[in-house]
Amino acid sequence: MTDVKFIIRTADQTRKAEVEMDRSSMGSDIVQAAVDNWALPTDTDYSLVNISTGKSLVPSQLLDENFVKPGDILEVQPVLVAGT
Amino acid sequence: MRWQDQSEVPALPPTAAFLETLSMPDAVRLGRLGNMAPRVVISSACFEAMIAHLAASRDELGGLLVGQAYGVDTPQVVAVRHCAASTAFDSTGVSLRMEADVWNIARPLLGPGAAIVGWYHSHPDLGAFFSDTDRTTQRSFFRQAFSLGIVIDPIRREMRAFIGPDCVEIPPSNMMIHGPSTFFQSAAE
Ligand SMILES: [Zn+2]
Repeated sequence: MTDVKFIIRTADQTRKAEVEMDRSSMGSDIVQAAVDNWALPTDTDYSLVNISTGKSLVPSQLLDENFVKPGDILEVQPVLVAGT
Repeated sequence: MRWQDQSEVPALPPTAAFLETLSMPDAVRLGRLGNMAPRVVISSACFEAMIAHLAASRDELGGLLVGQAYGVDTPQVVAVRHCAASTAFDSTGVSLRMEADVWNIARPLLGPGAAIVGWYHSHPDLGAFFSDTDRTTQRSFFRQAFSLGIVIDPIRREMRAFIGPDCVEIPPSNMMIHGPSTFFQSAAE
């Protein structure tokens, strides 16, 4: 299996990591790694966007060449909820 | 999987760097509030854009705030210069879900001296306060000491701001709108 090395960051750009993952990993694995490593809430919906290409990665998307190239920047973006 | 954290907390510029951009009377006025709580200075263009956005509906609306915080050890001034309105959302008169695309709307506004400094939303005709849900969102995703949560009731014309993960309320006297002229208008007036 080949690995791909890329950058992952939070949407507010306050957290950043260099990650090396197997290309058979999925978008959901990246989000889970960010949630685990940065103690992000687990009861939130997140989007994953490749900032370098502008493409979104759905949870089941494999990290293949068409979606993640070495050095790309991926952003984990939370849905924000408010109430009264 | 190999995970190498590269997060850095960038040092905030000193408050003097913000004061230098003001006229002398404005700088003096900003210093003379009788309290040490952070000052929130919203550009008038941003404030007007926020009000125009939030007044457009009886349902809750919101978005992100872009600007710069100043202060060496603790944030002393949070300058809010742009707002990024959420355009993909689900809302009622008492709830709001902003889809993640709001971050893509804010991103082109970011750069040197322009970071995400918080978020804003409306409570139409319910008063400006921070609900339990609002506190949870602030604690979860606006975790910097300078992170602001601004709530506006566009009908009752109320505005309140809360800072940091603990959602400490900013005194109304410390909320200021900074116009193109050298005129400060406290949001409390
Ligand atoms: Zn609220």
